[in-house]
Amino acid sequence: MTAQLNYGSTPTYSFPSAELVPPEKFIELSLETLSNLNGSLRPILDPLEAQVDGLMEEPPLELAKPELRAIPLSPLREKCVVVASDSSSIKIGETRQGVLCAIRGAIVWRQGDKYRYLRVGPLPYHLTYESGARLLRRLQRRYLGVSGSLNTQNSSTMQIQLSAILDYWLQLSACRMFDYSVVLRDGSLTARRGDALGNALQKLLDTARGQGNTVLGLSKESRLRLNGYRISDLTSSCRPPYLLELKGLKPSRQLRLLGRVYLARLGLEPYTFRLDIDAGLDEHVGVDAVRRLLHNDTIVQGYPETLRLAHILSTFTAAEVIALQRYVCKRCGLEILPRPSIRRLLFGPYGTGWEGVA
Amino acid sequence: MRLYKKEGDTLKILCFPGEEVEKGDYLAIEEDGRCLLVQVIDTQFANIPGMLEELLRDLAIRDVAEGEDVDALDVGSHLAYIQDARLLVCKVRGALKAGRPTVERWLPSRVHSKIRSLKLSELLDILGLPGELPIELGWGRDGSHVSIDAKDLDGRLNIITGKKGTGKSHLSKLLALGLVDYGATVVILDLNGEYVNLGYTPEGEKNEYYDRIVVLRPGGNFRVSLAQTSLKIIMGILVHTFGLPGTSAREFRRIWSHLKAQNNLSMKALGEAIRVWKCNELVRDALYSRYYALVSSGFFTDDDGEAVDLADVLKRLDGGGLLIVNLRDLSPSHRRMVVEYVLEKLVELLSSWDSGAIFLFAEEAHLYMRETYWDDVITRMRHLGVFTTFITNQPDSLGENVYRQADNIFLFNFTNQRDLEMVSRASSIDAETVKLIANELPPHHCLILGYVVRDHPVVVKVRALNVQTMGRTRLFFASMPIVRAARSSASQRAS
Ligand SMILES: Nc1ncnc2c1ncn2[C@@H]1O[C@H](COP(=O)(O)OP(=O)(O)O)[C@@H](O)[C@H]1O
Ligand SMILES: [Mg+2]
Repeated sequence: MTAQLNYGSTPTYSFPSAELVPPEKFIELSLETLSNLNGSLRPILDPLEAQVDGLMEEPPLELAKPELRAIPLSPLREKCVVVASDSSSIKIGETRQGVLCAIRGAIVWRQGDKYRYLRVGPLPYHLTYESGARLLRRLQRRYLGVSGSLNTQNSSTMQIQLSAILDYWLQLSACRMFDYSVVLRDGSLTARRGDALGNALQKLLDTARGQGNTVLGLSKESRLRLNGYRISDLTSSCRPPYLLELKGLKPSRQLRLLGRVYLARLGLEPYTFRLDIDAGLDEHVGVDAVRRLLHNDTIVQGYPETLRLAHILSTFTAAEVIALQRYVCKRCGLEILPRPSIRRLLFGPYGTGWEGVA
Repeated sequence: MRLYKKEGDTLKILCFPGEEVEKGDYLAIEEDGRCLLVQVIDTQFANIPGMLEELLRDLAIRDVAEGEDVDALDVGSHLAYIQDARLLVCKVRGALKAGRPTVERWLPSRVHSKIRSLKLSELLDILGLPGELPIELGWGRDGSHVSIDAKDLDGRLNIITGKKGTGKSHLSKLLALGLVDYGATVVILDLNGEYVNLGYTPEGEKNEYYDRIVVLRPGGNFRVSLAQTSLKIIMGILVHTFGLPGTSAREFRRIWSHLKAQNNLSMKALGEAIRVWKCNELVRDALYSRYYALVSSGFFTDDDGEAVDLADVLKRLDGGGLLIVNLRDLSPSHRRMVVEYVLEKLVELLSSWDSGAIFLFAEEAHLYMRETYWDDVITRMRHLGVFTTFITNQPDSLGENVYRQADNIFLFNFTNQRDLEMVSRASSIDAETVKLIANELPPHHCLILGYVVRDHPVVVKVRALNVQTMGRTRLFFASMPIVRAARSSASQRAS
């Protein structure tokens, strides 16, 4: 069976902003990659196998001589929108020619005491060695609009780049949707030199600033190291919430820091995160954005709820992986190849039932 | 559908939306010319990993946030499909090899076995049902006609049980008329007088059964003479129903022999004999009080023209007929007396007949059958050719022995676990099946268990009957005008 490129009438969505249009190219290319798919599929149901996020994490930043400065925070009682976005990707199976993966992303914003979201996906892609790089270049042209390289080393890096481009599109959309808002993103504001996504990040920050928005990057795991110790273990005698400013960071030659790097303890609970604030802004503007965040969002276990929701909305569950496998197999007429481990995973150690998905 | 796993004698089968299967349905698991017949006894949600997480996430999000999904490829519908996957809990009921029943059992292959729904009509075909004398009961869930074989009720002990109002009496009427159609003699102990109009159509016209139905109202058109009554029967009544003590019973026996020798067995003579009999005064008092109990019941008469001979009645119903003993409006002791009489009389008649048998339907028998009859019904009376169907909404009113010996059970809805427990003790059915299926049966639906379905439990929706299934109903509010009149006259007086 051949997939039809023409996916009929695109349903109309009541988009929150007129500037925001569905990412049609993503959808179109998803269908295009599926159209060359035939034969069989080895489904993946092992969550560890399916997850590739984190493979490409940035190298740790070593702090040579630390200079720590505590900045106590108090909520800044100014109403503004807090908007967050996140995306995720998952590997759903292997084909003879490559891998089948899917991406999904979400923008969540809080206005008053209501959360609203826009979620895109899941979108499955069939990535082969040749087609993968071409696909990424087409998306780069369409959505990043900057030069630079993309890591197309293997299917896992391609998959991550794919969701990173979607993530970028979501963040850019978020920045365009609102003025004077706090824009949260998952991850730091570090860019690799010569990297397309790094160049795009710079562009994103410029766009945000142009509309009075402040981009904050929150990293769940701090990869900052101080003489071999994880810096997230550092605390201050200061009463939370507070920021610990890290001065004197010396990134490696390939990395550019586009943000000021802090350690943030936003709630009373003892959780700290790395927080990068757009370095293109005056320092006090950035700190005030964090204070506005405290006033306009709920902080649960030291983490902004808006960003947590964006994360939850984009992450795949096991059932969704099965649903995607079913979708692709139905659409492309694939035969599902049995994998002993699937059954075990599906039905526990004693069940040995059911090969694949009906 | 796919076989998922086996736990003990239970098979679990994964089933996706679109494959409509419900409790009670049969499936065929086919493989290499062999076929396992399994019955679905429960359906559960499939425990797909991440499903709980999925639902929790959904709930959490839905509570706090609302939004838009750009799911251009509609993967969401596939998720719903997966989420709605169900696990069918099944019991193996039988097996076929080259199309023929076999006692062999095997574990089917997950990969190669094919699972399909089995129509109830197919199952009945396989079981060779209904055989020569079909009684049409109704339909299965899939619309298949379900009939049982009248022969499978012959010589059997049956139980019809379920909550009040679920359709037990209706089914017993259907079975009784079905038996009559094939020429059987059926006696009904009609506790509530609800069988008395079976000879009429719902519109009140006489129907094809009219001439084959005799309704006896004890004390009304059903009175008997002492001359037709054996000493055994009358002793049974006096001792068991009216509690006559041993010494007095011995004295009664003498009086009876005396009257019998004189060929003078009548109520009048009996009363006179007790009056003049030489005996202890206490004994006389005891005999007198029982005598008056017999008299006041109005069941005994000295008028031979009025007396009903059950032998005659049964002869009239030869070739198929229904004898209904209307026990409605009788006091508990009179009810017991009449039943004692009827049962013993039937036994007498059957012992002297060469052939012939009687199907007995007894509604709430514990209200009129004495303890000792239970085992009798199961053994002696059955041996003589009285084949009983007990109808009750109180399963624990039937002795354990009745359940053990029951050949067929027609089970209507029960929700009470204790009731189901009781029923599930019967014969070969596993308790799980009984409990899981019976507590969800809609009204007029019954689960048939036992020999009639060759131990393949079947759920059937019982068909309607084209007869008047209701007797005269005494309604409380029918007396309202009188009450109203009394009250209005009272209020008039007050004003
Ligand atoms: N299969 C059936 N089709 C139509 N009506 C029925 C059916 N079964 C029972 N009924 C009606 O439902 C009511 C209750 O049935 P009944 O047999 O008296 O219940 P039960 O004896 O269990 O208390 C009666 O009015 C009866 O006529
Ligand atoms: Mg009834």
